[in-house]
Amino acid sequence: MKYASLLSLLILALGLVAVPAYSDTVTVSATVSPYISVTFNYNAVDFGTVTVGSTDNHPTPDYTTGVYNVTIDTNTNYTVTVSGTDFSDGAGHTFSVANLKMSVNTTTTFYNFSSVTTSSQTIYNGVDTDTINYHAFLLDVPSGQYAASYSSTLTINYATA
Amino acid sequence: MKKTTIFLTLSLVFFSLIPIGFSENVVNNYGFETGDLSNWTVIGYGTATVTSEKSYSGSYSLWMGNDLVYISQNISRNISYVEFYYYKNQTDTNFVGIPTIFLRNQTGDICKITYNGTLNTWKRVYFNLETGENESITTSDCPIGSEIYVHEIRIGFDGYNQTEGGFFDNIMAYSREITKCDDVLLEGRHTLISDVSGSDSVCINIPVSNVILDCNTYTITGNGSNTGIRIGAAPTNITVEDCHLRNFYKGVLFFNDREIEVLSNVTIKNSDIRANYTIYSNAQITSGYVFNNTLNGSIFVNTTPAYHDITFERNYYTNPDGTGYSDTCTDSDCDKICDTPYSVYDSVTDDYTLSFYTYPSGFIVTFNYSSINFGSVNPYQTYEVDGVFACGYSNSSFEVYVNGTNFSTEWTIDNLNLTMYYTGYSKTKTLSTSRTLFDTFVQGLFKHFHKFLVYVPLVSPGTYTATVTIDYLLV
Repeated sequence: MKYASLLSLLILALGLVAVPAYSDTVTVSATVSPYISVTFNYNAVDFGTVTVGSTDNHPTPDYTTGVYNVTIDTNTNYTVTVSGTDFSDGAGHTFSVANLKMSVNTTTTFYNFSSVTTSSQTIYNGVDTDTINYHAFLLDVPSGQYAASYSSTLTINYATA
Repeated sequence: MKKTTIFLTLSLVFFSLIPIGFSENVVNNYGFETGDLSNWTVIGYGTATVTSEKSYSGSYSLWMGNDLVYISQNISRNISYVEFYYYKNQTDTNFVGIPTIFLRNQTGDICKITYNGTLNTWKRVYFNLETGENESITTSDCPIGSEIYVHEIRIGFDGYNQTEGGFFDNIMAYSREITKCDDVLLEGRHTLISDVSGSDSVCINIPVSNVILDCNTYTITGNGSNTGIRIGAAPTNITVEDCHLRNFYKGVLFFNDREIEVLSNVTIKNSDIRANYTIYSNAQITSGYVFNNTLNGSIFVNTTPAYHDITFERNYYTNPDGTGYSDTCTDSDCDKICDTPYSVYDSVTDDYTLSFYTYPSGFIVTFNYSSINFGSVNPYQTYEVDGVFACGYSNSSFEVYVNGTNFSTEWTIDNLNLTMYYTGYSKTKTLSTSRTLFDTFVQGLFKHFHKFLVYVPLVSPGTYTATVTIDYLLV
């Protein structure tokens, strides 16, 4: 009984010293958008001297070294699309960009080479955890193609899925 | 027609009895109606005797004579107008005494006003120190153009040793300073110099135009059933300011006794009025203006007259229980203006109704927000939201604590900063999940603007939510 009385007094005392207070509970919200940022670590691919009628020529240096790579920073899945202009020597001789084949992977092991076209086409679907892509290129040279130096411009685009 | 004639006659008599325009006669026992010389001191060698033999009004007057003699009274007031009534004894053919009023400061005479008439009948002798207007007097050393401070008023015969004398009655000195319930009968400023109380049906009556009644924050107290200040009989350009009215049935009454009268340009401002009816208008009135007052009680405006144009602005509307509109209105931005105007009468509102923050007490805090939305954001960017605030009043020092929850495992709350700022103050804290002291603030009204700044790390797309708790509490 004595202890009960003491407890009552303690509760009362605590009640008397309650500090006036005002509290605001604020809900802070934000909607994070899909994001991707890529850094191309190369800007040219050189096949050197190739033979008319040859196929699957490798560039120099070879893509297996991983030199044609792109650093990726993304929070979402993404797609890689590519398009290109036909090869031209600037003197009226050309051949189709479809002779160029490209592959993308997160390692230097490549599968599923796709022929490049002049219209944009998806050649790879990545995931949000990817941090690097390696690119591979193969070139076919049409038979009878006029001997000259040819070039094509590729447009490789990374976009959030 | 007959009624009109009677009215005009009465009016003329009324104004002839009261020196036009001054608030208050400051001379006590001015008509000797106590039957003796109470409040007066006799100076000199002659005789000063209160008598009922003659009187201008009432039952008594003062006879002085036989030798050099004066009566004196300390008044210690600013005086604008003096007057007395004098009756020369017709049987005193050799009498050459000159009745004179001396207005004195504490070192001597500052103004001497001498009657130079000779009529053997009651004669009103007066001098207006503001205008110089007078009746049958000559003055010496009297400044004209303003009121003067008078410590002592002295009246008697100047410089002659006489064997006879004359009668004096109603020796009065008027001041624009008010210390009691009275009529204000001349244009210009009239000022309370002390608290006033009275049970007169109307304490301060203003029936003339171009008057400023400055109560100088003194209090006028009634008996609960009378009127504090009455403005009526169609005056224009009346201002009542800095008045504290207490215990009246009607605090300020706008009044017409005839339907054709219209009050105009009447202003009641900076006053604290506690009455059953703080403002009571039964008048035709145009350009009435009730501004910046505390009105503790009801308001009545009779909208029957063709003109009942009274603007109410920046007033505090309360009642004796402290539960009036201003006491309880919402003032979400603590700007001392109720969010919703008070509807005063008819369709008239006070668009700047003062709120309880006008007279704050205790500890009260209002937050004007409960959510912050940064909208669509991109990783690696910072975003801010500001313009939200907490405002209120504290009668002592108080502290602010903050804490928050993480947006996600990857997006922790330490990516969120809170800045509080107002004039001369700005402080930023990075939030954490533990409750931490933001700062300690001093007592008074406050308005803390809050700005949130968030850094977005690389996290998956989607909507993220954190909860921030901001506590204001007394130290």
